Amino acid sequence: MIKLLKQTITVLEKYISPASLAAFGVALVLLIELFIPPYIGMADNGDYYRILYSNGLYFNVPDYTSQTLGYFVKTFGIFQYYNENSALLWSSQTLFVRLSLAISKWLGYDQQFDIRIQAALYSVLYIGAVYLFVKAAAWKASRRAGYGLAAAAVFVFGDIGYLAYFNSFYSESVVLIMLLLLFSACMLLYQRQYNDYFLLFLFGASALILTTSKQQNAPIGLIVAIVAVLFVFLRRGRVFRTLAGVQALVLLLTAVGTYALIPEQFVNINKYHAMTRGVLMTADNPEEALDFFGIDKQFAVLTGAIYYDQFSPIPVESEEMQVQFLDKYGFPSIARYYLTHPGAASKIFETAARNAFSNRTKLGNYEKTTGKPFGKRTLAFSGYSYLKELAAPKTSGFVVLWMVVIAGLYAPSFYKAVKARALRRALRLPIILMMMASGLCAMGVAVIGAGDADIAKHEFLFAAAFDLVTFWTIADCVCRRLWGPNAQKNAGEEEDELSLGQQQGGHL
Amino acid sequence: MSRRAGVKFWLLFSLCLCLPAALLIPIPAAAQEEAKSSANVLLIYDSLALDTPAAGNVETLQRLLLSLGMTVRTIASDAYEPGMAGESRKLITVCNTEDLCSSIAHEADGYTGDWLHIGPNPPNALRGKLALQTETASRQSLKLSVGGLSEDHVFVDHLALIREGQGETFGQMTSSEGTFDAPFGIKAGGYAYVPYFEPGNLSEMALAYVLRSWLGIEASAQSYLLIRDVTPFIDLDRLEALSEQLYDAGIPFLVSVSPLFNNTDYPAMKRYMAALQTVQSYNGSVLVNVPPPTSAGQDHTVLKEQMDGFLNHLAEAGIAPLGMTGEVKRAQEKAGREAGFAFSGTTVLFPNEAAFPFQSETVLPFASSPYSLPADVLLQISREDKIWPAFPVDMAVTLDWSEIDVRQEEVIPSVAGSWLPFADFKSGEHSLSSSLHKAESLQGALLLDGKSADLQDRSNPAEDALQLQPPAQKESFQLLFSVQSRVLIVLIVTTLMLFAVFLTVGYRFYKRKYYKSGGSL
Repeated sequence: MIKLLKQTITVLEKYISPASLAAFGVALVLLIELFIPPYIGMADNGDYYRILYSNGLYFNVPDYTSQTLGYFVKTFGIFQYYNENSALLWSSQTLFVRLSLAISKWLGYDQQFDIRIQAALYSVLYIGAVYLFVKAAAWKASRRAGYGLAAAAVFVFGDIGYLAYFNSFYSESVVLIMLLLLFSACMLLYQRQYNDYFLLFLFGASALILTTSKQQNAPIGLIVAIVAVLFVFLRRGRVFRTLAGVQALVLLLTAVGTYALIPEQFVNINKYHAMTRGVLMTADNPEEALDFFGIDKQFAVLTGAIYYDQFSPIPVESEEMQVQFLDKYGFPSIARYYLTHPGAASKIFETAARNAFSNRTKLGNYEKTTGKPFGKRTLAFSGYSYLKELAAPKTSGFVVLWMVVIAGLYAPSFYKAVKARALRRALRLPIILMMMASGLCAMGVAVIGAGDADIAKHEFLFAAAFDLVTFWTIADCVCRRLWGPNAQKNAGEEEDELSLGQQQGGHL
Repeated sequence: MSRRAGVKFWLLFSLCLCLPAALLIPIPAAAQEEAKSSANVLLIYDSLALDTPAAGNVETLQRLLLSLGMTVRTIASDAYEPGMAGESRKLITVCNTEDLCSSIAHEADGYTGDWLHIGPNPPNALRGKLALQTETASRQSLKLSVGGLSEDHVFVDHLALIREGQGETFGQMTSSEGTFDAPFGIKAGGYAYVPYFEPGNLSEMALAYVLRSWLGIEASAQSYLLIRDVTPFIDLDRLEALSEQLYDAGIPFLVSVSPLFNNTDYPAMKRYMAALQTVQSYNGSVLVNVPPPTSAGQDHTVLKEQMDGFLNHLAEAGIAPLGMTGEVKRAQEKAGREAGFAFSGTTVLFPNEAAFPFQSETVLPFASSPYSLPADVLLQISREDKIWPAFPVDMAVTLDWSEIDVRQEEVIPSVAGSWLPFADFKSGEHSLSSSLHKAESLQGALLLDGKSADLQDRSNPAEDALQLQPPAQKESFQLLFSVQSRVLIVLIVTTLMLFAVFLTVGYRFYKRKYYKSGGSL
């Protein structure tokens, strides 16, 4: 068996690199799942209309509503007349939907939009992202480790829990691709594998699209902007420094702008849940919690209420509710509340952690024409998501432990790099911390901003960041880049020192 | 007796036995159902006149008819099928758009029962019976008057007028410029004609006078004061103060309260109940509002269960609700009506908040259903004498809580000083039954499960601190969970400490090795 494995690796080495193998593997899974019948996608949870109508698309399936939540629908109508629907949602996802629509029209499909065109667009980007990620992860790895990592990448990032999003109008698909590109760009920059200017552009573009893909990602923009500031000092050239500086500033402003552009209605839905399914549910005494925000204690009866409840003592859209309840608090005051109430914060963090390790939603994956039952989910290529859901200890303690262990593993090399004043070598820990903080922030924003409503989907970014960081750490361990006699060499840090010396020498 | 005569005798005997038996056989259920579904009044309209001053007049008319105890079937003229009019004893046609009126007249052509037409273009049959001559006027400011009540400056864009007619007339429509003076309505036998009807002004009341006469209703009518939109989130102290104020002013009143379905064990609910107890102790009667469906839709089975639960809560707090309130659309659909209104025969219907398509189902009346009219609509009406004339229909004069909340100082004195003769709702016969309790009123007495529901001596419930009781099952595992949590904490701390130790030791080893190799160099 081992002999056969060795032979396979030898053959593979002749024809394909680990990164190409991983990209090819993921492409194959994408082809099988998304483009060969029965097509796999995701059912609408009722949110599609926000992105659809403002982009010139509409539901043209007669029984569309009855398929909501249960069946994947792959065709949508294209408006043939002036579209009077204003943008309900400001998101970078619009770029991809509009581009897919243009491609569809260019191909001659100008009456009906097939979502697989969008899936093809996402697939191309995703395959590229996986290639770059494995290229960085398997850098200087032994043959065996390199191909092992490629296979593992196909198992993790070729999971249907991720890929099914491409056949949907959820912005999670954009989040996944951009997060992968962002992380890869950072690590490649640290490894000096490609041109610094190209990687800086890749980092900036992916960060920009990631931040604007979802309103909840606004704080992530701030975190990424901090790392972007580090890049300013990566090279001495004035052009590079100016570009990196401007980029950091743009990212910062984008983060602020993304939050400011949130339409009021969506703020209200999330705001309502943030209080009823967050603050009130975690408070020992909901009346005291309401007192903190200056809200009448009678509103305690809304504990656990949902914006879409069939019956409400007063309509949630009413002026009374707006003035007496929703206008009394906001994201900052809720964050302040959790900071001053550790008990409630730990409870909500626990709820968040319980749902943070699920890559799959409960939405149906098949089309109705396949004859599958309503809400049926595919089992094919779902090994990783099932394993994760079963094996991951879903507690806040585990999240903290994971963060401490990972940070601890990268701390010595960071300390050494700082001591040696080698910024590029010191980048690895900040990048890892950026990913972990982004994931944690996504988790925090999800629960602070919307309580436990729709939590598994809101925490998608954490799930993806967890996978990326864990994969990277394992890759570093497997490739012996963290400890051992050749750690520095394997991590490419000796070369870096050398080139730094040469650069300094040159300057001198 | 010959053989033939014997057979004849037996046949006759059998026939005699069969006849009474046939009479005793129960009418098949379907036939009974058919009898039930045949409406007293068939209401045909040409359009709902949306976005015009007449918008809502069909719905208002339906509410009036239900308050007058009629079974109503409302259909659009394009849904009318030949012969439909013949199934009802009375027919009302509403013309809101002149261009469409002719189709109504054509469809109901040949109808021989009682017929009331509202709007321009009365059908020829009515013209003949009432010897009508009409004309039209446009852009007029009117003075409407009926039964000692009057309202000035009613602006009408387009109007049909009765120039001549034979029969009993109702009210007057006088042009402010003095160009015409015509009756509001005319009736002769079973035929009647009203040329103008828009909700929100005196024509609402004037039409009620015409309908009362046309339907032959003679029972005297009462008026009640109803405070709407009482929810758990209003200022409950203010509600209690208002109750006291009305009690001191000698005004009996009703409150329409929002139900609460969740967290009913919270102190907020107890405070709500305490406020309602105070309302009841100040001679207020409680009606329960059935919530309108939200955009998420509504499961009627769930609604019925939840309403029942809330009614039981009220009863357990000593509050005896005497009926329901809700938007008229709920009464129009069978399932919604059964889920929301089935608990009581007493229901006050409010206008729909948003336009709602009429169901073609027959709507049955309630045992008691006072007609709701906003207080500001009534108080803008002038009267000849200080004393109000008798109203044509039982009326619930409504005050919105939001209005009271903003200007209590003005609203209450204006109602108290209006000389409106508000009756005590408890003096009528009303009852409400939930799965566990029965509340009823009889000649001024309020009964809950057959006993007097007197709350005067009831002590004010204490302000309990909110203690959310965890479920019993959770209690039994609490020890286990706390132990598990502690074990985890210990494990995590130990791991962290070990980790720190390994780091320090590893770093030292590394340093030593580095120095060694450095030394060798």
